[in-house]
Order: sequence, then structure tokens, then C-alpha cells
Amino acid sequence: MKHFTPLLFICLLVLVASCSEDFLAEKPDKRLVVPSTMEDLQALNDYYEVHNANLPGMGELSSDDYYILYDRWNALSSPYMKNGYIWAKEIWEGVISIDWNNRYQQVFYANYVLEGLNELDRSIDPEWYDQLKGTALFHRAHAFYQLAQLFCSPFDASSSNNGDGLPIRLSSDLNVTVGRSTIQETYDRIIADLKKASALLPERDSYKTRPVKAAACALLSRTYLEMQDYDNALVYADSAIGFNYELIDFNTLNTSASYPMEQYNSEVIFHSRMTRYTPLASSRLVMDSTLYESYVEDDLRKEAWFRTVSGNYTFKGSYDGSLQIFNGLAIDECYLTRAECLARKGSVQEALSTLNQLLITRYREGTFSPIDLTDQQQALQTILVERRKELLFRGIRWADLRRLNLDPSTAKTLYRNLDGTIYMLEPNSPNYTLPIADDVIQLSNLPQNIRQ
Amino acid sequence: MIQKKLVYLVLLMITLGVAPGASAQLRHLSGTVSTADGQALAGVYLTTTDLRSSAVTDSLGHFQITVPEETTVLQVSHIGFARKTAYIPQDDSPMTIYLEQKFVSIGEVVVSTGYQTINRDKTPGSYSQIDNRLLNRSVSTDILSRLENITPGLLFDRRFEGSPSVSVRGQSTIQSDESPLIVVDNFPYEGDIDNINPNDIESVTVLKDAAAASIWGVRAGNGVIVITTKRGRLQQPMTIQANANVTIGEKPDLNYNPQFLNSSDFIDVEQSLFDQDYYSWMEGYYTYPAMSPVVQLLIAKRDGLISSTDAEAQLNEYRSRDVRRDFDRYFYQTSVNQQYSLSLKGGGQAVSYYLGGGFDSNKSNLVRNGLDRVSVNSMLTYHPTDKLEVSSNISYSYSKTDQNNGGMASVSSGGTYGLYPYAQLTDDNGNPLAVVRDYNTDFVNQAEANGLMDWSYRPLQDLRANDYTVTTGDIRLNTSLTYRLTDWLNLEGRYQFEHQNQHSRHLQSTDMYYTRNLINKYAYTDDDGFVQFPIPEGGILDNSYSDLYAHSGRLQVNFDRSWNDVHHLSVLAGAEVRQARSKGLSSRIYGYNDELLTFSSIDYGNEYLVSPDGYTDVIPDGNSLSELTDRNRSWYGNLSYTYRERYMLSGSARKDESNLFGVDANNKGVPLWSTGLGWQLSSEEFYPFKSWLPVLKLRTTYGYSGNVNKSLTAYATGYYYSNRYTDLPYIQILTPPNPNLRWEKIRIINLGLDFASKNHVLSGSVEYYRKKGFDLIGRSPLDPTIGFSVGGRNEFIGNNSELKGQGVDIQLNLNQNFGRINWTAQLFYSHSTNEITRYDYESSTISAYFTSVPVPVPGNPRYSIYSLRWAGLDPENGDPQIYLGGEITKDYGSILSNLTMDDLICEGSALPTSYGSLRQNFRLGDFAIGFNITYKFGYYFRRPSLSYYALYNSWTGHEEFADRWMNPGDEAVTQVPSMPAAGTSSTRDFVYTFADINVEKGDHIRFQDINFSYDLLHSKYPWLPFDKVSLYGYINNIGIIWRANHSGLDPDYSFQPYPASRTFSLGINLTL
Repeated sequence: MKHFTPLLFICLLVLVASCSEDFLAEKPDKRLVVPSTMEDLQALNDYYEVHNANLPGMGELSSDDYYILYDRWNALSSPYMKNGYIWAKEIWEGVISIDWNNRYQQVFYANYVLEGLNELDRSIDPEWYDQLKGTALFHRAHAFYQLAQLFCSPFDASSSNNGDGLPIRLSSDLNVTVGRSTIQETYDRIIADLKKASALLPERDSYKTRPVKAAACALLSRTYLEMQDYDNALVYADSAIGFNYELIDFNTLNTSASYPMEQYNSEVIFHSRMTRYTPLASSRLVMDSTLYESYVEDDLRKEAWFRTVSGNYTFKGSYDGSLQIFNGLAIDECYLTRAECLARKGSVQEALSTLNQLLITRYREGTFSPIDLTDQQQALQTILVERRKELLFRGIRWADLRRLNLDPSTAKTLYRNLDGTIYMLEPNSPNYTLPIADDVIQLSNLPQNIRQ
Repeated sequence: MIQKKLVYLVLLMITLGVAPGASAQLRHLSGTVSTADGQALAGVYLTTTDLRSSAVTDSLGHFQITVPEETTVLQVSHIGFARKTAYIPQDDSPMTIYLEQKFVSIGEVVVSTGYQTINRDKTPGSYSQIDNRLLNRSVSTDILSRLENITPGLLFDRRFEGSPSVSVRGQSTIQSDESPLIVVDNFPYEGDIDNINPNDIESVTVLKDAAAASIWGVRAGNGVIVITTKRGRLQQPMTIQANANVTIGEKPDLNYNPQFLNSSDFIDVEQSLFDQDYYSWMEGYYTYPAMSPVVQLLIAKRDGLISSTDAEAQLNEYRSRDVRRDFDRYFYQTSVNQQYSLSLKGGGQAVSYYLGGGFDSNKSNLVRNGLDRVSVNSMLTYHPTDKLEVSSNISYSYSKTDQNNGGMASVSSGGTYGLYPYAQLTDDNGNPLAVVRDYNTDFVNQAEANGLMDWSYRPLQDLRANDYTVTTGDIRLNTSLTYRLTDWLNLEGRYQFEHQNQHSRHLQSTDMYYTRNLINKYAYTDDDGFVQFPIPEGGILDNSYSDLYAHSGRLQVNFDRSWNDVHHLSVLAGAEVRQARSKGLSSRIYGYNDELLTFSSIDYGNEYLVSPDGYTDVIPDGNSLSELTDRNRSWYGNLSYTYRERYMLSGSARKDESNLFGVDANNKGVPLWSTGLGWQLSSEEFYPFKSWLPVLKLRTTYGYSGNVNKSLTAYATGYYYSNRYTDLPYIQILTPPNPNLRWEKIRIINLGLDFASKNHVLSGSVEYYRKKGFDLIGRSPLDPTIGFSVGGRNEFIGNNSELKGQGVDIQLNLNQNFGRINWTAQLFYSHSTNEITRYDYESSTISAYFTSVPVPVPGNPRYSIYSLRWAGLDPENGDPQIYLGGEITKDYGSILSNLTMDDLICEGSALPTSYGSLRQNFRLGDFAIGFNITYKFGYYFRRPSLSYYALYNSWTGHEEFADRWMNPGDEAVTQVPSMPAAGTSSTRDFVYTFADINVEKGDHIRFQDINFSYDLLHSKYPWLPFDKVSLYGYINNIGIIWRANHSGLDPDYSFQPYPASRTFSLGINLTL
């Protein structure tokens, strides 16, 4: 006993000390999930409010398809809406940028999923694993794409693009800080992620809120177009069109409905919607009258997409089928990109035939006469006009303005008139790039964008 | 000499080594024990050093004891007296032993840290010991409240309703748990401390500095309160103790709360608002909003449905009413608390025991509220061999709490409304009457005609029908095994299991408004014209169960040895494992019949139109589940060394690991440690003041303790939800991964000085401490680029805040005899301040600084009171004005957005920074009387004031309405704003409510309590069938003697409708 007791005691002590780590690995709260399984990662990818809603709206707010009346502008409560509308030097005035914050939240979720996948064995369910990975890569690229259109100078194919790009966060670790990359690096990352995603994503999914192969192709096409890489833009527009998303025949629509376009309609490849800033509310925005008049009477879009509010025309053609503004990916955009790229490459006939394919679905049955031009420049101008008319309030106009301004032949100066005061945004103005919000600068020390 | 001692030592070891019953020569000794002045002492315990022989003196102080031949000394101990070692005379002549009275602060005080018991004089740490006598000075159902006002450094915060929060030496954390760790019989108590019967408690030790507390590691940051229950001793005759007392508490004074406007003025306000068409939108509105009886009367009068004279008569009748009278009569009562306890303890050769049982029955101040508690406690210690000690403790308590009455504040007219002051709860015959609630009276009156249930609200009927009880059972099994290897080395193992089971049952029958209202709201008329009830007619039964299972195990090695009479070394080391798991389940049953236990099934999936509000909703299901697990593993060690009982050195270290932290933090964690030095200056040869200051001791300690925030984990965690557009499940990440999460650390430096004058007439201690909390959990803004946000807030909760504090604890004891009167006095003074030194988050809404727990601000105390600089009333119209950026303003539209931190005045701490008590006790023979006067200084509170917004929209008025500005010139005599037009911005009230004129000093002196006792001893009155009969009385919460504020308010209860009631207790304690 005398020798046994201490021995027993020491044994017990050793037992306590060597308690396996499992003892301390117990979850403190059973209801909490520590997202780690494929189901969990799927649930992170399916977070609608992060990946599909509240996409940036500052570009649309600043673009030229609409205007608002002075009283409405003056009554805006948020300084950044007022400032963004007139392309002022200062935008945020101490207020946060939800466009920036929400997209980086999307990046956080995507990174978390990618890190989670590293811990899982692909062979358990390779197809699902690939979809999860492809989806996360797509979401991350989509976030970077959206941010690059607001917070980076336009990509210029004729320059080195070593201006300030985005902070490329590839980790969900809160302690990792990342500085700004170059514009080239930013676009390289978007392209690389999307290419990987296009290989991993499935061809179809029953939910249009989830990206599929065609979505990755459509976004690649859009990104290449941004980069003035028309060859690649064409390649991926073609790929997207190859997935057989049907164009809607507008003759089948009830054009007098409050929202004639259906949510998840046949043209939609990937569903998302933007933050509807107050000036973009259909009760407030007034269509640019020249733009409105450019739709001919037999163009069904003219009645399907617009209605009058106290004598002014406003927009009701969102592919969300609601007052929310759709800014996802749809096949009509790919037709227009394809047409533009072909035109730029000199295949004028093919370009116009692509455009006609789209437009015939937009016109009252039997009224459409195909566009027939031979001059390349003229054909391109026509395609660009049709591009603007088709992709109205889709979060595309701002990026197009930035890109087209690089070529003096397609450049445009924008004007705002507020109670007689004229504000102007010249092509390639540094004010085409938003400043980073003050709180971000304060907390991160990122270099600020210079405006004038 | 040394040789002789060695021989004794060897002899002692031999004695210990042999089995009991070994033959040895025995000596028979006898003698008497008395006080220094010759008074015989009964019940004194005498024992040999090996504890194998013992005796107790009789009523004349006589004892007889048989000891082994080689015994040289007897250990003599008695409660309240210094332990003494008496040498046995060679010739067996009768011994006369004198005991010296023990003094509370100095003398041989044995304190328990939960890991060991130590002599307080031999450690540099800061301990406060509350012995049994002091604990029983007051009468209460719970143990914690008995510590109030008798312990320096302990502050009870009673500002809010519910149990007071206790702090030891001020705040050590910012937004984690602030309560000190409570240890009962060596292990942290996981259940509700109110389960414990105070009659079973022997003593309480408060561990205040790092050296004392850091043995408890990451849970010691807020201080530790160690509670030790009673136990028997070997060789002690059985004593039986019975205790019974009753406490009567006065009815609370409902007129105390100034936030009440009398009916007449209230009706005038309603009349005025009515004239401004304030209520017209409610008429015919589809939700039938509640309108007060006066407004309904005014409408009827306007519409000609009632004559002016009748209306006026009715109004005059309303004017004469005061609903507080009804509440006082039907909702409040005199409280009666009864407490009974019976215990026996004693011990034989090898077994000692304590058995205690208690019963408490409390009738609250609130009618139909109360508590019944039964508790049983047994403690057995068994020495199978002289080397082995096995002890087992079983405690059980069961309580049942009735919570049927929420008090006056719980009765309201629904929505934002309180209750109008002219409400009537009963008719002249005492039958419950309806008051307006949620809907207007016409709508309510139609209900039954429309096939619905009665839709009226009768507060008194609700009170009588309410059936809400909470039962708590708690069982605690505690076993320990100590094996003595040698007389200086032992091993001990302890294990404790605790299971607390709580069941809350709330049955709301159809007599109750809640039930009828819910049933009616979901009822609809089907296509055939029948009224359908998706919620069936019947009671609603809410059950909620929670179970707590806690296991704790500990292994420890204790080393304790002296050399050459000069060195004393005591070391302990051990390991501990704990798990506390709590499971909860809540459920709701509709259509419940309590007679037959039948209930109805409900279609929870279907959405119904909720009338009259007109939205659709599912039926609330009330089901929820939870399961929390808290696991810890710790290693700890403690060392103390004394040289010549003059120099003391101590050190301790502890490493904790928990399942909150994750593997990385657990691996990286640095042990929390402490060290201390003590110097008994008065024992030095050169010490010059031996004659008048025979005791002088200096001590200092330094070290770290910690605190855990259980709301955080190291891993990314989230909850599953379902998306309303796609129906797909998704996860929202709620806490970010935080591999750097760690416990909060508190560094404490303590300097102490203990002294005692000759004969201990004056003794005491002075302590100064500084503490610094770092790695404290707090909010900090997060770069949005990082991408983690919840609800659009880019912030991070982590170890990023800091706080510092300092203070002084002074205790002075006086003990003086004046003739036959013994006078003892104890003066406490505690000073404690704190300051946030780092907090990265700043609130963007200024009102966050005016809440009862404001957002922390660096440079200010954790609990601060902020105010706006008052600029007086506008002489034109009595509008309140403040200074904003140095300018007078009353631009209510923009004030809130223009206010910055620079415009806020930090008035100071909301908790007392200086506090203490003066306790005196006079004893004449067997009669004793004591008083305790307490004081609190150096803090502020916000006086409740009149808000017109609240008056118009919540019917909450204030007495000061009578003093409001009415005519130009009034601004010279009043600061109460004029009555504004209906619809005026609530910011107008905001600037007045939070103006500096409404902040008052909390300083006050309070006559806390009186206690008295009269002892009848068998030794004096031989006819007594008991050894001792004590009659005692206690009066608590006597009243405030002096206060700095001019509003007549009790600043300790600043957010409560009335302060604690005065209570009167009478009791008897029998010892057999």
C-alpha cells in the first residue's frame, strides 16, 4: 500500500496530463456550427445576401442613362449619393462605403470556403467538391470584378497597368493584411479564378443564384472586354452562347405589367442584384430623354421597360421582376459582346447578324428589318448604341463608359444639371475612379485614389 | 535542546507509523480552561498533536483527557480565541490553561483558498476572513448578502432590479463576466448560489490580491469568494444546534418613485392633447389602438353621446383616483420570511460528522410571490488508518419560487403605454375590473358578441390566475481522499459531481389576458360564418427545463515541513479537470387543461391573419433547445516559505486550458503566476516599538490572474438559416476565426501593512493596490477590407482593450472594556477607482453614452455618468437649452447629429469610489447589541426627470410636472421645461433628461442595521435544558442618515422603483 498509493497517484496524474486533445476540442455551444463539412460550405456559398444581393450600385448611380431632379437630389440624406451623382472630388464624407464592404465580405466567405475545402477529401464526392470550389472562385472573382470597376482606374490595353489595383485578399484570416496590387495583377487574378471556376463548375444547376460554367464564361467575356482583349472576349461570349440560354421573344411578354420581365427568366445565367441607391428608385429616376426616344415605336422594350411617373419616363425592366435592379449575367449581354468583338475584328456581317439575332426578339413581330451595314466603324457605333439600349440599368454602363473613353472615337463627356449648375465629367477623368472610404483608409493605410 | 526535539520528532513519527490500538503507557490529565481574566470557558477543544486523543471542557471549564505517555503538549482551541499549545507538567498536576481572545484581523486566522488552508499571518497575500460569528450577525435566506458591509473591498451594486452584482475591489473587466468566482468546499460552484443554506456555512474567505487568488488562474480576475461548509471534528461530543427566525419586511412605499403624475394633472394633459387633435388618428384606425378612458370620454362628449355635465362628473371622479392605492392594497404585502435549521455535529475515534437540515419559507412583498427551500447537508470524515482520511459530503437543496406577480410596473395598457394613474383595479366590492389594454374599449366590448373570447384585461384577475413557478433541485457530491505518506508529505484526490435541475413552469389559463388575447388575435371567421380558433380555447403552458452537470476532479501533492525551528516550507502542486455541461429545453403547449392534462395539436406551418393588426404570421411555437459545454484542464502549484516566522516568500503558478480557446491558444498559453514577500517587522530584535505596537507586518505581492469570456471561441462559428427567396439553407458566420483568442489578464500589485497595539486594543490593516487589465475583451473597428462583418458592423470582438484601477482598503479594529462593558468597533474604508485605458470602438450614436451601461471611453471609469451642459430654459417659452460647441442651442432637429464626445461632460463614476462601514458592538454580560453604519462616496447618479414625450406616449409622468415653466420669469425658479405642443421632438426631452442639472451626487451615509442578542447559558441557569439559548434580533435597511442629493432618492437603487424595505427579524438559537 505504501508504495502502491504514490504510484497510483502518479499514474492518475499522467492520465490527466495526457488526456487526448479531444477533451478540449468539444464545441462550447452545440447549436453553433463550425462550418467544415461540404454541406456547411455549400450553405456558405448559398448565402444570398452576401453573394447575390447588394452588389455595387455607385457605378450605376454615376452613369448617364438617367438623371434626377434638383429637389430630389437636394433631399438625399447620404452625402455619398449626392457627391457620387455629381462626380465630386470628395465622396464619402466619413460615411462607409457599403459597396466596398459588402464585396470584401463576399471575398471573406469565398476564401473561407476555399480554405475549408483544403481540409476536405475531394474523393468523397469529386463533383460536389469541384462545384463548391468553382463557386467560391467565381464569387471571389465576381467581387473583385465589381470592385475594380469602381475603385481602380480603367484597364488600358495600351499601357502597363501598374497603377493601384485592389487589395487581393486570398485568406479569411483576420490578421492577414494585404496592400493594393496593380491593376494588371487584379485583372490577372479575376481571369485566373474564373478560368479555374469554368473548369470546375457544373453545366447546370436548378438555382440561378448559383454560378454554372456559362456564368464563368460570361463573366470572363465581360472581363476580357473590359481589358480590350476582344479575341478572348469573343471566345468566352461564344462559349456562353453555346450553353443554349434562350433569348426571350418580347412578343410573349405582357408589356403593360408593372414588371414585365420575369425573375430567373430564360436569358438569365446568374442572378444577382445591386444596391438600389435612392436616386435609382424608379419613383425618382428620370430616363435620359434622348436615350428613351432612341427606342422606336415597334421596339417592344419601349413599352415593356418604361412607365411614366409624373410626366417623366422611368425604368421597370429589371430582370429581377421587381423594383430591385438586376445586375447579374444574362445571355443578351453575350450577344452584344460577341457582335462588338466581331465588328472590331472586321467581321462586320457576322457581327451584325449576331446583333440582328438579338434585336428581332425585341421588336413587334414582323416589324424588324435587319440592320445591314458595311462600314466597320458605323457597324461598331450601331452595336455600341444597341448595347447601351439593351443593357440598361444592369450595372454595365459605368464600366462601358470607362472602357470606351479610352478610344477618342467612342469617348463621351457627361453632364449633370442641378438647378442650373452644370457638373461635367470628362473622358478619362480621375473621377471615374472612386476614392476608398475614409474608414478603410484609416484602418488599413491603403494608398488613396487621387481625384480632382 | 535540538537533540531533545529530534527525539520527540522521531517519537512522533513512530507514533504515527504504528496502527491504532498499539499498546502504550497512558497518562490521565485534568485541568481547567479560562479566559485571561479568569472566566471559565466551556466547550474548549483539547487534543494531542496527532489528534488521537481529545477532550472538551464542561460548563465550568473542566476537562479530563487520557494521553500516551510520551505526549508533551496539548493543542487547545476555541472559537473566538487564539489557538494555544499547552505544555503538560511532568507531575500530572491539574493544568490551568488561559486562552486569549482572538481578534478578527490579527491573530491566528486560518483562511481557505480552496486548495489549502493557511495561516493568514504566514502569508503575504491579501485575504479577508468572515467567520461564523460574523456571518450570523445578519439574518438572510442567502449567503452572499451576509457578506455585505462587513468585508472591505466588497461592493454590492443594487442599482438594477434582481440580485445585486458583487465586485471585489472594483472592475477588472470591460464586457466579460464581472462576478467573482465562488468556490464552495474547494470547487467552483456552478449552480445558483442561492441554493445554499447559510446555516451550513462555517466561514467565508475573500481572496483579493494576485498572491491569494492566482491559484484559481483564469477565473480569479474578479476576485474569489471561498465558502467552507461546517464539518465535525474527531473526539468531539455531539452538539445539536437548532435555529429558528422570522423576518418581517415592510410594504414598499409606492409613492417613493417620483415618476408618477397625479390623476388630475394627467387628465389636464390629456385634455390639452385632445384639444390639439393628438388622438384623432386613433379614431377608426384599423388596429383599434388603445385609448385611455379619459380620451374615450372626451370623444363621447364631443360626439354628444354624453352630456357635458355627466362627462365633467366622470372626469372629476377620475381625478380623485390614484391607482397606487389599489396596487398597494392588492399587489403588495408585508413580507414574512421564516427560517429553520437543525444540525448535529461531532466525532468519535475515527469518524467525524456534520448533518444539517434547513427549511426556509418566504412570503415576498409582492402578493403571490415567495420561496420555499429545503436543504440537507451531510459531511462525513473517516480515518480508516491514521494515514488515510476519506471524506464525503452530500448536499441537496430543493427550492420552489413563485413568480406570479411582476409588481406595479408589469401592469400596463400595452404597446408603448404604461398605466394611466386613474385606473381602477377593483370595483367597490373588490371584484377585479378591466383596464384599457392594447385596443380601445368599444373593440374589446364587441369581442364576445362576435364569437370571440372575452378580450378585456383585468390585472387583479391575472394576478390571481397566474401560475408561474420555478423549481430548482441541486445535488452536490464531494469526496476526497488524503493519504499521508509522512507527516510532511501527503497526497490528496478530490472529486465533485454537481447536478442542478431547474424547471420553470408557467401556466396561463384562459382567465389570463395573455392567453385570451393570443387566441382572439389568431381567430378568424370561415366561409360558412363560423369563428375558427387556430389557437384552441384553453390554457397556454410554457415549460422550460435546464440541467447542469458538473464534474470536477483534482489530484494534489502537499508538502509541509519545518527545519531547525527556523525554516518552514510548504509546497503544493496538482492538476485539475473540470467539465460543466448545461442542457436546456423549452416547449409550449396550447389548449392545455390542467385538470385532465389534455392539450391540443397545433398547425405551426400555416400562416394566419393576425387581427386586428392585419399581418399574417405563424403561431409562435415556443420550442428551443440548447446545450453548452465548458471544459477546462489546469495545472497549478503554490509555494510558501517562512524564515524564523519573520520573512515570508510565496509564489504560485497556474496554467489553464479550455475548449473555448482552441488548440493553438492552449499550447501557447503562458501560466498565470504570482509572487509575494512578507516581513514581520515586529519580530525583529531591533524593532523598537514592541511595547505599544507589538505587531507590525509589511507585505507585498505581485502577479496575474485571468478572466474568461464564454461568448467567444477561437473558431469561426455560425448559425444555419433558410433564405426567404430561394429557400436554400445558408450559414451566416457570427464569430470570426480568432486563433489568438486568449483569456483576459489582470495584473495586481498589493502593498499591505498589518498592526496591532498592546493587548490588541487597536489593530488593523492598510492595503494599497494597483491593477491593470490587459488583453481585455472589447470591441474594435475592423478594416472592412478584411471582410468580416455581422449585420453590417465591421467590428471585431477580441483581446484588444485595457483598463487600470487602484485603491485602498483600510480596516481598523478597536476592542476596549469599560467596566463590564466590552466595546468593539470596526471601521472599514475602501477606495477603488478605475479608468479605461484602451478601447478602440467609438459609438456613432451619442445616445449610446447615456444608457445605464454606457459605451466605454478611454480616460473615463468603466461605469460613467455623462451629461450635457445645461443652458437653462428659454425665457420666452420655457424650452430646454444646452451648450453645444460652446453655443447655446435648442435646435432639436440637429442636436443629436451634431453632438460630439467633446460636448459630453463625464460627471464621474456611477459606482461608489469610496465606501465602507463603521460597525460597533457592545456587550454587557450575556447581552450584546451592535450597529452598522455604512457610507458610500464619490459617485453620481441620474435623477429621473420629466419627459413629455414619455408622458404623452407612455403615460409616464413625473411629480415635477407641477414645477414646470409656465410663464416668462419662471426660468428663474425652475428648470423643468414647459409643456410642449403635441408631436414635439423627443430630443427636447433628451436634452433636459441628460442635462448636468439632473446628475446628482450619490454620496450618503446609511444606518444599515442593528443586531442584538441575549445568551442564556446552562452554566448560569442550570434549569435550562440546553447548553445555550440565544435570543437574537436584527433590523436591516433602517434608513439613510445623510445624503448629498436633494431629491430624497436612495442612490443605491437608482434604476429601481423603490429601495429595499426595512426588515425586522427575531430568532432563537438552541445549542444542546
